[in-house]
Order: sequence, then structure tokens, then C-alpha cells
Amino acid sequence: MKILRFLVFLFFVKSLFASGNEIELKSLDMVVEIGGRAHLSMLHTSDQSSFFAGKIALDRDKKSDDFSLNARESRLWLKTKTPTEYGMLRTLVEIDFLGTKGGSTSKNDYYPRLRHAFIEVGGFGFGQTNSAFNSIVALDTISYPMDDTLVRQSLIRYTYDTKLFAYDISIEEPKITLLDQNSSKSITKDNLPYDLVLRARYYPLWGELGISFLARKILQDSVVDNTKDSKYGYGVNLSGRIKTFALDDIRFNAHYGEGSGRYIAYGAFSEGTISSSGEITLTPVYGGHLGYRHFWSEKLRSTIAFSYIGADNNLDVLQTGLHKVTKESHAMQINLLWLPIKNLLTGVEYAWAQREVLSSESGKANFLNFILRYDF
Amino acid sequence: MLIILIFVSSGCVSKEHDNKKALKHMIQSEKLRLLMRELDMVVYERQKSELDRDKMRKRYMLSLGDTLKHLSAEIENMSESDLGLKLTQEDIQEYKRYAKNLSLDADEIYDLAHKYEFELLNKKLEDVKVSCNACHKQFRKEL
Repeated sequence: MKILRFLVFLFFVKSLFASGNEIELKSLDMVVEIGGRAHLSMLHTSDQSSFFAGKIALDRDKKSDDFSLNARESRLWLKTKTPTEYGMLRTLVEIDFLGTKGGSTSKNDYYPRLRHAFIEVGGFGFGQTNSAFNSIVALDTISYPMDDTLVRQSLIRYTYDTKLFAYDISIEEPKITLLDQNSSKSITKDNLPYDLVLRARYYPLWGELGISFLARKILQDSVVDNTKDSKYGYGVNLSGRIKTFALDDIRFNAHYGEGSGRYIAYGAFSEGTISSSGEITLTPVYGGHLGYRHFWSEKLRSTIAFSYIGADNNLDVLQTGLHKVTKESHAMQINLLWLPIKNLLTGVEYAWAQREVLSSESGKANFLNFILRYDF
Repeated sequence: MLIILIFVSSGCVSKEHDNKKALKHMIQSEKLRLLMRELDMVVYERQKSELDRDKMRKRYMLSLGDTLKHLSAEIENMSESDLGLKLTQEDIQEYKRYAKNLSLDADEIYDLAHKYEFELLNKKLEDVKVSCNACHKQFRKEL
């Protein structure tokens, strides 16, 4: 990691004091750090599926095997820290290149995508970053578990941090998708109150534990003719890590929610359904994962993990297009990661996943993912 | 007979006492090693922003500081008999000075953690390592 230290000295000539002329020297000590990663990913999939709960291809849509090679997961970040009277003011701006799926065949011109733009001081934070509802611990795998709880969005957050505990209250960007009777997604945008997330984290010697509560209002205004309806949605997310032997650990996640759709599994599920009369029914979504990480040596480690996600969609409303609506997905991942030199990570992961949709059709896929990554 | 029994049992207790202290010292040292490894692994904690990772690093550094404080207190509280009969008063003073230095190192690590000065940690830990090695070289065989 390269560190640039800028010492900016501001000189102020103060007005005359009774005793005579005085010069006051004020210094602003801002440290700027630049870092990132260069990441090469080689992925082989059995049928051009993506390893996400809602994107495993159904058997009827089977395609040929696919092999891809890209560096889109490379990242670049810049962060600063400045001491202030309210504590350290820290900022972060980070981009990656995952926003563009396919670059041109000759130049692979992937465009930058904003990941984080966040400012934090005195416990307050604002900008775009990870939602407080996200799991506090993630699996040490190359691909994501089916039930992954990860949302990045604009938010305002207050954190009260102690040595053993941390508590957050976060007001976050609201977005809602509802499924209509044809199983098509409608996005409601108007007059939405912000999502509220409360989170508590515990850092004992034996690991980490976090629980988040999400409260939100799901509403529609004129999505169907001139109708209006609203429901209160919620979600609970429990995640953690328990250390076992030496550096080994168990990592887990469990969640349940009604109307928590987009916070889980990268939008595989909607918040609810909307009937022809405009009535909203919230969709219960539930899932979890469990993984064990083992260190074979200081430089060699493996994780084996299982994940599941499912939802109870309202079949009284959904009439057609049921093959588009995911009912449940589950997956297994196993990997071997090697650190030949500090900050250079390479490894291979095999993953298998299955998805079932509301029309009772299903699809299975195999993935082999090889990475080469250097963090600087 | 009674005198022999007391002598033998006191010998055993003393040995067990020494072993416990050595074991505690080893456990704390192993804890230090694991914490340092966990610090190195923070970069691979997925789905955390760089600011979150820095907070994690800060927590590990504070734990490192706590562990060094415990080690320092253990050394400080060792009695002359714990240190062995061959040591002179000067040696004991030297030993206690190592403990004091360890405590000062812990204070510096706390300070670095609060300032998010992670880049200076490795240098500080090198100092701790040099100090530990010097102490072990001088006193471990005596214990």
C-alpha cells in the first residue's frame, strides 16, 4: 500500500495581541492513502449461468459451457484521515469495473463503477457504502453464497463504538420492487420513506457476532390504475464467526424477512406482490449459510460452505410467468486458496448450485473459478 | 517423614507453579502470533469497505495492546523465586525493565490504533520482537 502523506501547514498571522505581534501556526495533518487490487478471474460454467440465486439457468434453457477471463473485479480506492476535534475524520472513495458486463472484443473497455463514497467523523457517517443490514462476516470464498446479504447504497448512519460492542442506527435509501400477476417487476419510486436499520455487533475473544433489524414501508401509489396501498416490511439478519482451532473458524448467517427482498440474494426476490386491485402482499424470504475455514498452513487455506435461500411467493396473485420467479436456490462451495507471497492471492473454487422456480422447473450448474489477485 | 513430605510437596507445587507461569506466557505469546496473522488476513475479509477493514485492524491492534499489557503484568508480578536462584538483584531489575518496556510498547500500539496508523505497526512489532528475543536469550534458560 502506497501512502502519501501530505502535511499542509496553514499560517495565520493573528491580529495584534496586547503583548505584541504573534504568529500562530496551525497544521492540518491529512493522510491520503491510495490502494486497490489487480484481479484476474477465470471462470468456467457448465451452462452460462451466473452463480447467483436468481440466475442459475433452468434445464429448459440449457446452453453450452462457457469460459470467461476478465479483470473486472480490479479495484482502486483512495482514503483520507484527518484528526479533528470530533475524532478522526475518515473518507473513502472506491471504484471497481463490474458495472459493464461485456467490453468490446478488442479493447475490453470496462467502465468504472462507484462502490463507496463515504465520510465518517465522530460516529456519524454519510454517503454510499455497505448497508448496516449486511452480514458482518462473509464467507472466505471466491463466489458468493446463494443467500448473500449485501446491499450498497446511500445512507446516513450513527455508530456508537465500544471495545466489545458496536451499535448502529442507519437511515437508508428506499427502493421497492413488486411482482404483478404476470410475474413482471414493477418498481415503485414515489414518496417512499427511508429504510431504517438497527444493528448491534459483539466482538468477544472467540469471534464476532452481529444482528441487524430492518424496518421499511412498502407502498405503491398508482402502480395499478389509481390505487394506493402500503404495508410495513421487516427483516432480521444474524451473522457471525466462531474461532475454533488456531486460525480456523466457522462462519454463519441466518435471516428472515417479509418485504426485505432486495437486501438478500442480489435482488433474486421482490419485496412482495401487487394484485390487479392494487393490494400488496409481502413475500417472506428466508435463508442462511454455514461455512468452515481451515488453514492447512500459514499460506494455504480452504473453505467449505453450504447456502440456501427460499421465498413464499403469493400464488393467489401470480398467475403467469411463474418460470421467471425463483422459489428457492441452494449451493455448495469448496476452495483452496494460496498466498505464495504477501498480498498475492491465488486459488481455485468449485461450486455447485441448484435453483427451482414457481413453475416447479429447476436448473443445476457447476462452476470452476480460478483467481489471481494482488492487493496493493 | 513429615519434613520430607512437606519438602517434596512444596517442590512439586513450586514446579507446577513455574510450569503454569511458563504456560501462561506461552499462551499469551501464541495469542500475539495469532492476532498478528489475523491482522494480515483482514485484507481478505470480503464485503467490508476499506473503512470497515481499518476498524477491524484497529480492534486487532487494541487486542494486541491488551495482550502485551497482560504479558507485561505477568512478568512484573513474577517473584524472585519464580525467576530462579541464580539471578542477581541486577538481573531481576533488568528483567523488570523488559516488562516495563513491554508495557510502554503496548501504550504506543494503543496510540497507533486510535490514530489508525497501521503502517507503523510492523515497525513497532519488530521492536517488541527484538525486546522479547533479548529477554528470552538472557532469562529463558534460567526459568
